[in-house]
Amino acid sequence: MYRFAHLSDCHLGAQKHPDLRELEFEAFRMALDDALQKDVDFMIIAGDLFHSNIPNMETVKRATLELRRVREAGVPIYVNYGSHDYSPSSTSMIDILESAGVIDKVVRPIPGKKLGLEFTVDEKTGAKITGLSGRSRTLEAEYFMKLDREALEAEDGFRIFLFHSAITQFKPVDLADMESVDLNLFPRGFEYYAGGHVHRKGCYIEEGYGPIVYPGTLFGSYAGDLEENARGETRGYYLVEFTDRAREPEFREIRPAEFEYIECDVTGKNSQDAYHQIGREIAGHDVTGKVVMLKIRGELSSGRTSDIDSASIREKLESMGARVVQINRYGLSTREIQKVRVVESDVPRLERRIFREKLAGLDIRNRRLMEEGDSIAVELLRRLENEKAPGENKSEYEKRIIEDAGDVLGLDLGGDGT
Amino acid sequence: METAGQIIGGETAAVLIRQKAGEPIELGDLLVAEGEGYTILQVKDLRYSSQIPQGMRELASGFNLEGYGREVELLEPELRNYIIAEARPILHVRDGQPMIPKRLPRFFREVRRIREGDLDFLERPGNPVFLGNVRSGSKVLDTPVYVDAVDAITHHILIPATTGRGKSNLVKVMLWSLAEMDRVGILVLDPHDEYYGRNEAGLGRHPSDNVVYYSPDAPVGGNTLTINLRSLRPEHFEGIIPFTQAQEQAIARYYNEYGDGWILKIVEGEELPGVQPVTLNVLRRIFDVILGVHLDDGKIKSRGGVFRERGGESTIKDIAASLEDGKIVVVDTSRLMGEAELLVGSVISAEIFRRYQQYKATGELRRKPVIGIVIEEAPRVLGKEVIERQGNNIYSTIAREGRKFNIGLIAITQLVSLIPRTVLANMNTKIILGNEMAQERAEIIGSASQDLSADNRTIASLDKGEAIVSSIFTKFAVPVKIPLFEEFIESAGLESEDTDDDMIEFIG
Amino acid sequence: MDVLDKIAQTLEGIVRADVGRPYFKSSEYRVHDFTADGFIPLQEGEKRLMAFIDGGNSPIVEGPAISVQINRVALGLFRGEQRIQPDMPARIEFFSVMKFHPEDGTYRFQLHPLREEYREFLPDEDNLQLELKDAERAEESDLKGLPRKFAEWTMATGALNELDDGDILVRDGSLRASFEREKGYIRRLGDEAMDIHVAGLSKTCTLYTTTSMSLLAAVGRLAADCNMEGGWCYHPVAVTTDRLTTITAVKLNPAGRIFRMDILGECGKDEAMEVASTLSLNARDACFPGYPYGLVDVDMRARVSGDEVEIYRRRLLSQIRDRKVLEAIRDEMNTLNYHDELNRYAGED
Repeated sequence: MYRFAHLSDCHLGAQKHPDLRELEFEAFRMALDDALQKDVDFMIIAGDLFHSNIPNMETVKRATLELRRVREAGVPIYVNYGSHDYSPSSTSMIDILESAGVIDKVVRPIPGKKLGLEFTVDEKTGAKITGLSGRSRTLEAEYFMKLDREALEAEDGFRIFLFHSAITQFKPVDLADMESVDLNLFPRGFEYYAGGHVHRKGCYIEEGYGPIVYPGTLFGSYAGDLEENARGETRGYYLVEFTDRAREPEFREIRPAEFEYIECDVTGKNSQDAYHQIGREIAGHDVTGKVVMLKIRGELSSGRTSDIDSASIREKLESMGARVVQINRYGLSTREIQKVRVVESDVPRLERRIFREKLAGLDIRNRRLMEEGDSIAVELLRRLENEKAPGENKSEYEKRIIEDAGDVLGLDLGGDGT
Repeated sequence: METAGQIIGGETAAVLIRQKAGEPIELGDLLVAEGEGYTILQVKDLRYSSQIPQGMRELASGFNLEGYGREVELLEPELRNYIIAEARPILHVRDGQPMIPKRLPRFFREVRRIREGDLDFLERPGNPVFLGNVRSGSKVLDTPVYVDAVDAITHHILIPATTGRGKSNLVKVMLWSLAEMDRVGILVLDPHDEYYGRNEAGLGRHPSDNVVYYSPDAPVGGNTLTINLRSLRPEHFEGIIPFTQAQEQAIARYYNEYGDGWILKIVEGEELPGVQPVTLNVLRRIFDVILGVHLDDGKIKSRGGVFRERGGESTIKDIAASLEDGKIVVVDTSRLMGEAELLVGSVISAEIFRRYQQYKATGELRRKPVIGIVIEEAPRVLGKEVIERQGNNIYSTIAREGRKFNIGLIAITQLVSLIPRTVLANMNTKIILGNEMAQERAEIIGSASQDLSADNRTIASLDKGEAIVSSIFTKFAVPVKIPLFEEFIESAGLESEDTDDDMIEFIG
Repeated sequence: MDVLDKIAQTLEGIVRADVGRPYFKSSEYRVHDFTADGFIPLQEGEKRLMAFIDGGNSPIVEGPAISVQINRVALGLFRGEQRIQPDMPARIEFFSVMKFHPEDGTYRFQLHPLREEYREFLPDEDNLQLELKDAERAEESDLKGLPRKFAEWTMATGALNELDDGDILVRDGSLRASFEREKGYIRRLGDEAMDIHVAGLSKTCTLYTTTSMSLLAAVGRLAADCNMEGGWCYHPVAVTTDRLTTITAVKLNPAGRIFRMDILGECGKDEAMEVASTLSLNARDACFPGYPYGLVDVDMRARVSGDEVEIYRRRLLSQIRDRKVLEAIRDEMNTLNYHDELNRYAGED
């Protein structure tokens, strides 16, 4: 009986808040510890180990230490790129760690008309591991189409297919807009399908295939992830036992901290009353040592959204013992701004005014955004308004718009997906 | 001018034309009589005529058959025996403007065959769906026939045809043009898996990526059709499955209690107070038969894998999103039982209908593409009896109200007579293929947008690939020859190139 | 049955008899005995041009002493089976008004062609005057049809310009004159024809033999006895003593009947065979085998239908403004038409 751990989407370096970053790392360490304790023969990390392909050095240093610890305990770590930590020119952190012998990339293409893949054989267990990486925005669909499935299916032994994509059949309904690939593009009959990219965990049994498993994100990278954590979603990794077939995978929960979720709907109140309501709401929760996710939403009847001061609310919570406080006010608006709209007649000026108002109501740390945000937004709006030129087809148009947008934002958005 | 004949009498509905010997006139031929512009006539009937009395003709034939052929013959045969064609003036064109003819062409006027230039008034619409070329009898002209996608679909299209007359070919040709349009999204419910082209040429060959395929066992490039049981709501079954009152009440109870898990609970056999166990059992059997869903060893299993407990949650949303993106979504329902097939269509259509009702309310409707739903064997959902017995379903609702929301039906049927006249009257474009059943022809003619009362014979004699397009948007009932799909895509040079030979550049 | 039996026996007797020899009441004919040598089989020859002439007439308004007729004469031109367009009018139409003048016992005619260009093909009005003694020999209907008859001759004469030597002109009926004056027209036709053959083919033949048998039936019996197959010409049956006409019998098509054919002038066997052979090329129509298609054609075109007569009658009468005059004309017409009334009563109109 052999055993392995299947993790994915650790997104190390995603969290900017120091406390959250600490917790993110704590989760990683706890997972590795747990796996080692469970005597796993090897580990699989199905992509997005890091949140970016060139992460912060501090993060890298700590991650490397952890990974080396595992490696030195005689446990190989098999990985692929995710959509965040991938690099087109093989200059991702993943590659550096591989050349240092800490981890093993198992995505090894055999060039040809069809895409063949070589298997990486785990010495100890004889498990054969191969797979595909993620690419930005799930462009790996192309590779799936060309996959030489017959060759893969012809291989015998305990085969694991590692991948970093959503599968159309198993997408949760609220993530329907996510790009995905159809299950029929995968090789059939593998003994285990180690997935990543989908942050919600799930284990799917489908006729003709071994278990298709998503461990989900280990801690969370999107703001939505942490909110889900607070609302009860469990995070962790899967532990899988196998001989010639895989047993039912066991989910191992990893919880580095407690979360508390507070939601305040201030619709119809004026800003003063809203502020007080929030205060009352908060008081009713026990937030000691917890990560607090506070969501404020609704349309104020009067007053400005900036009247509701996030800083003081945060202070309050911290004084109540909260470990970390994240405030989400995207759903907060006020009727007053709408009245203002009517006065201006010059559209660009009007737009800038609105953006400024909005900005004022947001809790943003980025200085440049605060100062120039309104003009950037207006410019962006202008560019996005550009219509499709005659003779231009849909994908050319998309590409042009994306490049334009990139210009305005000063980012390389890569209209062609690089 | 190449004279084909001369007008020698008749009346408005039937102008009699004597055919010139050696210029055979065919049923459905388009002939032109010049004069104050020109009049286009269409041949509706043909008969023999002779200057020689019947008895003498028989005698003359007797001489021939019984051995006197060498010594006697009929002198000046073309002068004395000829064909009379009955033709109907269908359009009068003056200064390039077509109008309904109100006068007879000049008596004794010679008529000629139609030429391409005579049909220059046919305009290419803004969203052209190619149907074929204008046909005169069995001859094909170089004039293409289009209908406007947006107009035709929102006003519904009916394709009446008996088997073997080329309706699948017609639909494929139409869908090819539609695949290129962002302004139109089409849902194709394909009960014989013939449109995508697994085994023969089909829409899958379209060079754009606008054709999406769903099938329970989709090939590479297609999508596996999986529908989560939680996507099904009681109203989706309305008018499709005839539940008894007791069953309907039971369903309502389960839906109330368990929300979108209602089917799961029924299949699991979870009892509810107020629901008879016998009713529950019948429902379980119904779902087993229709959805293939049953309880096995305490777990819900799916026969055929389409309707399932886990997975397929986003399918309906995905399909609706594709349609809203102006794509053609072909759903292979060939492996599903009759009602299941309709149910799948019902769920998707209901979702689209719901969304579009919303867009109309928020004023976004005009920025959304028009949606067409291709449904075969339409009487299953639009038939008089079906609606009477089982009540309205989403399709009949769309047939009645879809136009308000820019959703239309493309209904294909062998038996037009089963569809209520009120529905037929709402289907304003009819692409009529050959039909040998007299009763059906009568119904088609009775509900057409132009006066087809003289076309009984022409419809009966339509060969495979020949059609008559009768629509409120065309000036007259246009006779069309639909190209063979395989030849059509080849000649249009539109097929996507096979990129199998390319080496793949791999990154990662 | 006794009575009918007797009659049947009489008929039997007639047809069982011997053929005898051709019988003509008048002494104008020199008769030839029947002989097997008279049969000449038809041969393929050159396709010569054939001109066919026939006419028709119908009364429009009639009284005992007047008759207004509409007349037509048609010309058809064929080479073999093929119709040729003549240069002259293919059909002429004219009205004729016949009036009897009791004061000098003459019938006088007026001719009014429908188009002036037809006049050259019509006989001279003055030429048409008839003395009572001439008229007495003729039938009523022949009298009224006199203008038409004469016009057929003048039209035929005009048609000679369409033909070349060796071609044939054929008219419907015999080549014998009904009136004294007619002879002059026929003679002129003969003179101007020169090497063009002129023939007359009769639809009906009232001739019989010395044994009371139909002449044509007798010829037919003879042909059968001689085992004649295919088409043939029997020459001569008789020749007129003034040598104007040779009478023959012809079977122009094996599937057809035997017809009497007159040829203008004294013609020999070769000429007869040539004429018959040429005609046979035009006598192949399955509707009337053995009878020249060209003659059917001109017959059809020369007819005047009852409807047309009615139209002309109304137009004519509508020209008369005076009601009294109109009534008087009606009175004229009424004296002749009581038979029609009875026919109508009997359901035979």
